[in-house]
Amino acid sequence: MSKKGKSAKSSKSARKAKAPARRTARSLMAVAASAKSGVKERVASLNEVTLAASDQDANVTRALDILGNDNEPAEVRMAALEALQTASFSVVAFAPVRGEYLATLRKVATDPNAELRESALGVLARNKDGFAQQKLLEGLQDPGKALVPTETALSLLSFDPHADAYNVARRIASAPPSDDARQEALRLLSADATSAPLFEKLLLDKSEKREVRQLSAAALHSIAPKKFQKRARELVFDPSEYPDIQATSLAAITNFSDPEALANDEPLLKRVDSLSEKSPAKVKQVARRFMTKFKR
Amino acid sequence: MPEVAAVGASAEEQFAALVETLAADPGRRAELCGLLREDHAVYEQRGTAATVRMRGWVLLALARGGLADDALVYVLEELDTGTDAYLLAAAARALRSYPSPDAAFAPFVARALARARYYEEPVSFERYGEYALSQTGTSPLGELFRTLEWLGPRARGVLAEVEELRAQFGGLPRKLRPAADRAIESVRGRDAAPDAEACCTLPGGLGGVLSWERGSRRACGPIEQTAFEDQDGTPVTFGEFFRGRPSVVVFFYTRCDNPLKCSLTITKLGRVQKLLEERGLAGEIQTAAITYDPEFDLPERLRCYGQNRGVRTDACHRLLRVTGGFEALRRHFQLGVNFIGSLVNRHRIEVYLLDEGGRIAASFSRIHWGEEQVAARAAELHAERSVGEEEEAGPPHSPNSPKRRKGVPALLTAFTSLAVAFFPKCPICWAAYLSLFGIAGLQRIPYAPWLQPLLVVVMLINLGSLWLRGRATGRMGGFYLVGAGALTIILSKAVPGWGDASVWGVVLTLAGSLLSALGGGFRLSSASARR
Amino acid sequence: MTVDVEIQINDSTNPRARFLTWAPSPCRIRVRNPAGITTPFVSLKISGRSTASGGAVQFRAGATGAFSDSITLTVSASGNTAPFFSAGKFGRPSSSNGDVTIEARSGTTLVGSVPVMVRIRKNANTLSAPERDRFLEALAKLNNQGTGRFSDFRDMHNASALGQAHGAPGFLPWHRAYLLDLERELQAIDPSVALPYWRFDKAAPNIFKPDFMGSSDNLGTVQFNPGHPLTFWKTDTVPGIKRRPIPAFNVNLAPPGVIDEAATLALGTQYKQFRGMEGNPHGRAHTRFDAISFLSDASTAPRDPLFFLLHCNVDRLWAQWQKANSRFDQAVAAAYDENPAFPVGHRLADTLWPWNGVTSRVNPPSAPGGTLAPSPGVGAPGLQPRVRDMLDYRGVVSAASRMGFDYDDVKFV
Repeated sequence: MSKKGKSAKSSKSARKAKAPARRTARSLMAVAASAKSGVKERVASLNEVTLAASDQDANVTRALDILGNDNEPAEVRMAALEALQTASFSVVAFAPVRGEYLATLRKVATDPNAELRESALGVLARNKDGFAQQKLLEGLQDPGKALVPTETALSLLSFDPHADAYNVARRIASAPPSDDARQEALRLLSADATSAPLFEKLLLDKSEKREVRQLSAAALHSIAPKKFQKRARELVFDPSEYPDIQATSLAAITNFSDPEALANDEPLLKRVDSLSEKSPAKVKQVARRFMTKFKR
Repeated sequence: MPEVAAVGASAEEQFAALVETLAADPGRRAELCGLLREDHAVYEQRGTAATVRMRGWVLLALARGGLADDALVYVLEELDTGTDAYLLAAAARALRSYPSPDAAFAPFVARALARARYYEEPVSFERYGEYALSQTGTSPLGELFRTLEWLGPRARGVLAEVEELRAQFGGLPRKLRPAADRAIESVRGRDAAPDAEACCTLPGGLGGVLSWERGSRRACGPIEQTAFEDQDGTPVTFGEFFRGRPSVVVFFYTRCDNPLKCSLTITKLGRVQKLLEERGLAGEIQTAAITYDPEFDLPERLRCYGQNRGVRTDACHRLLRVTGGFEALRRHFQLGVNFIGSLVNRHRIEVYLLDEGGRIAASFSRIHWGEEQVAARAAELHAERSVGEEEEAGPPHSPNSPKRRKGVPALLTAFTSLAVAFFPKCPICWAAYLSLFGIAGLQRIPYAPWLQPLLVVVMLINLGSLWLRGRATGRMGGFYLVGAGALTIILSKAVPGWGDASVWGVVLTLAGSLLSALGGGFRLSSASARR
Repeated sequence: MTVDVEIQINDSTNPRARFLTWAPSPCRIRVRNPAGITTPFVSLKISGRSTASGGAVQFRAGATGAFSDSITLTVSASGNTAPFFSAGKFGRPSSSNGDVTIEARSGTTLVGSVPVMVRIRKNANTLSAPERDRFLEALAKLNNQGTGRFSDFRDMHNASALGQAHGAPGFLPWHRAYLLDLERELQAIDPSVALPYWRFDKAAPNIFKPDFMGSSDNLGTVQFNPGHPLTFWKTDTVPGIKRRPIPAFNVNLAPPGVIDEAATLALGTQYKQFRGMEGNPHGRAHTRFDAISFLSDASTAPRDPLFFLLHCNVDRLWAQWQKANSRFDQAVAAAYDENPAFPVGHRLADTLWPWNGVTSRVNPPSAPGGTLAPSPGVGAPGLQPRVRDMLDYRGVVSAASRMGFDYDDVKFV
């Protein structure tokens, strides 16, 4: 909890009265920028400060300097990054700072500190930055150059469908270094129309992990909805299917199928009716929702 | 050319080297400029970021050598619709290398300035593919202000806009204010503002519109059977939908993340529909939006995308995805697009007007098109068709009837050109050809004498149809050339010692037929010629 | 045949208009069938009947004055309407559609009734399971796999549009319109839905459970219970949601570093001061999630449905502040930060993009989604609201400005 919050709480009764005394951004940044202050104190100041989000403001420049200076302690730089990222939500006011912020982040993206690297690459990737994408792809192709773990790189590349990551994701999905990496590679591919057969196979494979099958359901529903609806119906009828997958399939049918077609699908209505009476709790719940929606 | 083709699948470094080679050779500037075409093989299977790096490097190379008219449209297009910092900055720099500042550039620069503030970031032009890691390099806004300064008083028309931007809250980074002030000062200038008239005419005939006259339009035969599916999942072939009425066709894809391209194109298509409605043409002129990304843009997605942008859909107005034969469609329209996998990596803005036969009658590309202009041109097409119908119902053999222009004589011309080009010339000119190709010792090869009368008949049919066609289009060049060719061939047979002249006869016949069939009615009004 | 009267809620016979908030709704009653009435006028008692956990309503005869549980009106037997006002009873919001009924009695005989709902935006952490599920289903349906109307709400908040909405005083009015548009689209799917809010200054563990906004796994992928409607959530072509709290944020507790409600309201009594909340708590709430999370960057934030709960709370805080300081009137200088130097869309008289459909040099190039969704019950803020139209959301200054939403903890008087 910030100091601001605590002090305000104590003066709750006097809400309409004067605002509680707070340290100004300037004094907070003076503490944050001073090497004489302790790390904890500097981090606390940066956590408390509200930057004016304009390059007219010397405090913003100070925060940028801290972030870009690799002699500063990593915790302090992380706190500066958070304060700047918060300010970046004020898009109009922040526009003049944006260029310098992005350039600083590119520098930080290759910093020795892993947390800083990941955070910087995160901001850049969400802004579809070509530099970050290039670095992330390089790392996937050559693990020696990796700045973040494989799964993180894939997850950051998925922010931009145009990031040119499908090929490398396909490769990783077929020979994954870890379960996490495989899952992220599949998640990235779930926007790739040509991966429909892969997801169909995974969805139907009962030996697959639950997460992977769930993800495959969402992916197939996204890139080949008709095919998925057909498969989902089959899964609902399969007595040996896992309850999780059955519930997911039934939910997709409930929410996204053509209601008219459903109302005339006698066998399905019968099947769901029986599931709503007797099935594991999660399936039963979805089946009941289905029945309230479509029962005549 | 071989070098350009070879780089298709190679690394970006090789591409950068190629750009250097082309830039160093003034004779290969056209090739360098050709690298800016989206459909160029070098962009096949490149990611979007790679495409940006590559195009940017070409723009910078053009900037070093001085921008010529052939590349101007690409630069203006980038300023008009670009949202990538690197390309915006490179385009701004390239524009400054145009031989002389022009008032018509100013609105492009002003638009780019207003947009660039949200895409501003430092860029580095030092080495290929380099990203700036500090503020020391240049930036889109920095380049744009320098270009504005270069335009000077010619940018007077946008002065107010730029001043407003300078004054606005959150407008410009502090570091750029001196550059902005220099630019504003230069625009204010001491000279009188140039003629206001000049502001709207782009140099180099850049109107962004290409038109084809009726007789010269390419038939849609090759894609007649191309299968589509519309926003409701209804299947329809190209021929079924596009034959019968003129159509406005735009290309787009729903995953496009440049709001100035696809999202805007579809929004504008909705406005075109309203304009056509106002003219009472909603049922007479069709509209279609065709996706570049048919695998991803399923019917539901098309429907929502159109609906949310105010596009109406019914039997005459559809959003379409190809379900078979996208490549044929791409070739037919020579689409300005390239892909990585099935995903678009870059595309231009393209709008086509098709006549009632599904033939391309006009195209608008790259530079922003106006809804009024497209609606008006579509209405003209409709009128052209109405005239055709009236005349068809009128007296036969009216010499200037548009229907006659494209009827039997056109077919005859095509057929006889081919016949003359391939069939008769072989027996006549074997000798000439063989000697031309340097096959030794074969001065004369006997040919079947029965071919001679047939050849004469074919030649005469060809001449006749060209005369008709020439009368109709008002372009007799083809007829005269073929006539001269026929005469030469006859003389070569009749006059002893003139035998070798037959090769010239064939050349003339060929050239004349081609001119008439392909080029006779071609009118080019834009530098963005379709290759 | 017996007497039969018609009760019009929000002056409308449309069942979709039968929704009340804390602000008084204009209503009418008329005799539809006068069978058995011998006098020119009939005396009718109007009251509410609530189900066990249902909403409660109150009434008054005129535009001003105190509310009571029932009123008696003298109504013409000839079929002319008689006006009255009804409102939800503060602290007693409905939890489902029609869980409270407005009845009219002549003597002890019931002569007319309409089911209504006191539809109020509530704290998401304490939402009942059915309310939560109805909200989730409507949201999933609106998104419909990233192709539905929801994608417009994404487009409205993407990079080119952000300048319209952030970093200047229009931030709060723009987002109020944005949420209202979304809420009305949800209500077109299920009229009983109101947007819930995430009180990011308090512990809200229920929101982060797999049956609501989902729990995050170690990769930051949000996990839902099987069959959860958001299982198929998809934005920008990619299915799923990325959200991972920063290490210091335990989702069972309040997030650290976000100033609380009292501190937010204490930012100042001038809008100029109060709008500083765009940084903290608003921006800080966004950045309580790490680098791979949608929420922590303005350009990707609306891809996470939690975004709307977060912003609903931002709007609630503004409503609290408006109430505490009487800042509903755009004519009051302190109610807004008016300055001609602010960009278009941030000055009181400016229409708001994209609902204004304006695409020009200063606006983004396209205006997705069309005009603001209308409501069957209220006319404000209109199809193309201006900044100034967004202030008086509950009709304090002018009854016609009422927008048909309210918060469970913001009293009307």
